[in-house]
Amino acid sequence: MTRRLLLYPLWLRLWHWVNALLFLSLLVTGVSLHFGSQAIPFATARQVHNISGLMLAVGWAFHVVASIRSGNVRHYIPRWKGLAGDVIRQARFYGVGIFRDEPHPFPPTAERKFNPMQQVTYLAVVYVLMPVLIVNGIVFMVPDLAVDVFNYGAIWLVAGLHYLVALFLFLFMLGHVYLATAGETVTSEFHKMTRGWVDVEEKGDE
Amino acid sequence: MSESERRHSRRGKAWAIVAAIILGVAALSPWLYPMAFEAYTGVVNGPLTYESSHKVSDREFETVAEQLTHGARLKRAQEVTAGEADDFARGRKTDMLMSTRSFAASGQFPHIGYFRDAGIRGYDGPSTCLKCHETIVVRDLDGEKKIVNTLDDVIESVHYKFQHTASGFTTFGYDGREVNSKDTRPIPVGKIDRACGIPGSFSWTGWAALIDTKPAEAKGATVVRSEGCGQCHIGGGYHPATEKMMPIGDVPKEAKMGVDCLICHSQAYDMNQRYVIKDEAGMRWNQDRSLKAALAVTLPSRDNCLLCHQHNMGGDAFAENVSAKNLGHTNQRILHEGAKRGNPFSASTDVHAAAGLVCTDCHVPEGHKIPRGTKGTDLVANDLPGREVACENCHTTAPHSKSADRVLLNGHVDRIACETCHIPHLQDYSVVLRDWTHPVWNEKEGLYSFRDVYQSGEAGKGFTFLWFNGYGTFLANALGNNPAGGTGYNPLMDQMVKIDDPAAIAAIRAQVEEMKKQNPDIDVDQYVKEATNPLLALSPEMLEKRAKWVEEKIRPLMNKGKSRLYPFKLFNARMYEDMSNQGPFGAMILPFDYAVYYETGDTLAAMTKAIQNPIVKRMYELPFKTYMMDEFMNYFGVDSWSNEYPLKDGKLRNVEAHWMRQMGTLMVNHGIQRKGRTCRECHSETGILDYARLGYSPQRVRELQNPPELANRQ
Amino acid sequence: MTFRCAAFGLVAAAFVSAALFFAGSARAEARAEEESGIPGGEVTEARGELAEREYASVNERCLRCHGMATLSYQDPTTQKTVSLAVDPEKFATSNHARMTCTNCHQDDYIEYPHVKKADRASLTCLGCHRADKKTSRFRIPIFDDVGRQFRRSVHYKALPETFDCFSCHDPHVFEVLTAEAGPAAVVNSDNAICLKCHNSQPRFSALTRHEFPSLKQAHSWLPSPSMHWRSVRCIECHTPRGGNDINHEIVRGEAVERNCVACHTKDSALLTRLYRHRVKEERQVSGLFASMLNNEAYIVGMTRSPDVDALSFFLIGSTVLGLGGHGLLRWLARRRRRS
Repeated sequence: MTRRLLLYPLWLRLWHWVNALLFLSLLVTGVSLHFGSQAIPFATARQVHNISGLMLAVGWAFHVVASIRSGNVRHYIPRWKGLAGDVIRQARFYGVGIFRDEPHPFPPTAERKFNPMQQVTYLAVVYVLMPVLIVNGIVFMVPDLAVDVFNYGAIWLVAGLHYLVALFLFLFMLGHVYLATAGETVTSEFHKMTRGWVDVEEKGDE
Repeated sequence: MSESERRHSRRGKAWAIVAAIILGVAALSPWLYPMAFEAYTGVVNGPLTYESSHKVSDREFETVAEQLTHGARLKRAQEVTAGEADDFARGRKTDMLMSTRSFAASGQFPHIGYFRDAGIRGYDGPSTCLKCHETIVVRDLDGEKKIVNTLDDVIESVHYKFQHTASGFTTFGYDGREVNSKDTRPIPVGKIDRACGIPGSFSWTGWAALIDTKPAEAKGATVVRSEGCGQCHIGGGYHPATEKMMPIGDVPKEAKMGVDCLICHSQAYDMNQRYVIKDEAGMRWNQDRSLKAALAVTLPSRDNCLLCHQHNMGGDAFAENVSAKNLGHTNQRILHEGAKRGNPFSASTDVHAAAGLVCTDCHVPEGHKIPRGTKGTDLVANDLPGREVACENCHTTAPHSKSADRVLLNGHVDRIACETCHIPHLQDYSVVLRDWTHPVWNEKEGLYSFRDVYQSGEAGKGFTFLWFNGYGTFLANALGNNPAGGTGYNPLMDQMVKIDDPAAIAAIRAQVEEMKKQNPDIDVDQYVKEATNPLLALSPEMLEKRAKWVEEKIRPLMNKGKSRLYPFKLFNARMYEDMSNQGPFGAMILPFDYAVYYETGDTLAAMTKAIQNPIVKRMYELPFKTYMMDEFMNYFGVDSWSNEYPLKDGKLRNVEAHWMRQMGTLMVNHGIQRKGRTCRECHSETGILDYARLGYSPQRVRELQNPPELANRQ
Repeated sequence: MTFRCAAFGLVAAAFVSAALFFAGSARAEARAEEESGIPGGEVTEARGELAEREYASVNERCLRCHGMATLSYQDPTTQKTVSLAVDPEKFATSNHARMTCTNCHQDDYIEYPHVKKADRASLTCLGCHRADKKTSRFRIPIFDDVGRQFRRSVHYKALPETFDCFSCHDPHVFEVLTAEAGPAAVVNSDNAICLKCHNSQPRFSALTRHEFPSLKQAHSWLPSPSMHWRSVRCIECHTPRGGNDINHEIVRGEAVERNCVACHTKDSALLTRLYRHRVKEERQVSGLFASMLNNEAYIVGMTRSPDVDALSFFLIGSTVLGLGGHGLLRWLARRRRRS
């Protein structure tokens, strides 16, 4: 039998899509600033980038707090035991199984809505890369202070990290968008993230 | 009642008793502590009364007031009546004007009016002043105002307690540590606990003494004279503010009421009231607490400061020393020969005094705290460390504006302190070498006196020129180095330990031969050698250690900051020393008891008496050793203080007479002359600056001795 | 768990910074050996004409007095202290260190007291650094336009009588910092010249009656003004663009183009001016993080590594290709299954 589970509550969906928009905004303005392009005037790009960055930081903080309070955070924690095997299983699915129309090895459940590969990636993205990016961004926003706290040369480290993390997040975004088409059907994952619910197969072995 | 109940109640009782004792001790401590302190240190306190302090009638009050203002009123009235041709008429008019109410009220002493209105008819020391001046407004350098308690402000000042436990000294121990800095355990240091070869004693053992003298004039009769440190210090008690040295406790209220406000504030202070009086508690110094003096209160004038400070500048022998002319109505104070610095501050000897400047123009006070300036060689506490007292404050770094050579002269300011050129000489009777161990009978005064083996106010003899960065050693040696660096300049092994001027040596020899007449045991040759080379007192090991420490610990201090050439008055003394506490830079000096010394000339007996003073004995016991003497000795360059008391079973042990291991170098900053030295006084082969010993390279020495710029001049 | 992740992040950051540090110091050593590239080779050559002894004796003789830090007098009319001192240590590191005092100051000064009064009019920088090859004693090509530029500057226009080279430059101290000093030092030393007056009301008012402008207010439009002051020379903005890197045509604030991209771009104006000392290959040098390591100053839009960019493009490209390939395969597989 199937059961309809609300795995993506409204707050989470809202955050996700706002976040996606901010990513795009930061990406475009960031690239413009990075290359000193005139396509978007420097001052405008700087303004938009700063505001989007701040909103991203606020949104991230909201997400972390809400995740912890609602228990959503549990989905991000992989089962460390046998993790490598699980990830390989999932990778094998993407590399082989998906072409043979095999079933997803880790279908979403109320306890575990992400597959192991998602878990590891999201954990890294949301709890490592994003904080690093945000902290870097804030340091950039108050460079005078940063120079005092770190030192002149440290701005380089900050700039380098900001760039690299942003790059990785962009790569993640590409993968993320593509894999969103690799659900049960091409659009099923998008549905999940718009409507919030997932149909779960329940095994009747009670 | 059961056994256990009884035990409980017994225990309860015991606790109650303990608690009661603790509470009782705490409650009584304001009375018990001073008793314990006095028993421990041997100092005494008692109610202080002064004969000159008494109430007068309204009529007498007006008479005193009139006397005080007479001069000022007369002058003002005469200015008005100067146009009157007729003598008689002028005299009458002057008299009339002088006695009009407005003239009388506009005298220079506002306290006449204040006292009259408040009904104050007698002066009773600080308590009278504090009636109105319980607090004062003090303004710091930034112009920030604060209100302070007047009495506390005075009691905490160096003028009262002459020591500090805080940092703020410009002095470094020979071990390289700044006195009372972060890397030390702060101890109370200053003049209070430092025996010195100029007075031959220190404040505890030499506070107040009555001496029976037999002057020639008296033809065998005994004349009592006064002597001691308390003649100047404003604390009017039986001892210096010893209480302030202890980690706890305070000077008792009765002693605080002995503070002599008027010696600094009255323009009619009678120094003849300063003599030693003896009462049931002990000996102390009398002071002028007359109404007349009190009515003449103003802010301190130059004359106030000089009542005491001319003693160390001009000396008692200086003709304009007011105190030396007013020795006392009775028990007259003993005059001291020789002068510590020999640079009098008076209109005839100093350009600033002649210009009418007062001391506080440069030494700008903050309440009762008065700054010494940021430079100093000696271990004297400073009320306002960090507050600059410097020529440059007024004169800028381009002070010369008239001479054709003004630009070059201004150029010298970077290397040469103003005093170097503008104090051409000191008083002839400035003491360089003072021997306390071979007293001579003074026929005129009728007492035995120390002997000044050498006095000179000449450059190169009585004083010399040294690099100075503002710091000094524990025994007052100027620190500094040739700005070019290097080790060529080494005054602690050279200028400060050698007298090699032939004329000076000849003068010393002549004096020693004179001394031999009364002290036949003197070996003249040996004496002259030791007096002119005090390092002879050091063993070879000590000497080696000294040279090593100079380079390792003192050279870095010499290289600190910016050095310039300053003049320094040289001084050394021959005193008894406690050789158990000797290091490469000196030993603990032992004080003399003035009465025994002056009356008998028995130096050992005088010293033995002084070291039996309870507080000196305490110095040789564990609590004092731990509290301050160990740290004190570390600064001396000695690992720890030896508690071997120099007197055992009535016999002296480990006591020897020596010259201090190096001459002290005292800053001289007064006695400034408008006209400075001429170029050739320094820039010639026979000039007053010994460039080679000042650390210049041979080529630079030649250049400095004969600069081409001077070639075209006579 | 988040803690574990954070710890991992920190460790990673530490590795990256250590790598940056080592690479940076190695680079600095290499740089120290390079020729500075300061304009001024001619001066050094001119030095060769003088006998070493003469040079030493003349300068030593002057500096015996003029080396005194307080050699000065108070001008009776202006009440100001006029210093005649030359700091020997600063002179020794200045660009004019290899010259004798008498190269500029004529021989009247050799005797003391000096007979003639200092004739300041005869002493101008361009007297020596003239554009004319024949008459110039020490021609430095980059100086050729300085006179013209200066006469167009706000300083000259406002104070044609009193403002001259020496108002800003002390020839006894003046030192063009070399590449080793790094941009931060160059910025600091060049800006100090402007700030001497523009950050001191008394000095400013001594020259002109104009109201003393507040630097802070005037630059309030600029993001992170103090950051900019530490990383950019005043003259980058306050001279017209396109001039040479020592453009002396200082323009007033109102006339300055507020164009961020002038600097924040790959073709940053800073590259031809502030970073003129950086040899070209150093700027374009390949290798990961290279340009990051070589500059203490980070400038958004300018100081980026082409290699890191290339790497990024490669990564992005391969990701897109990989994903696209995967999608294509999925599509093909699906078609095959259907058929």
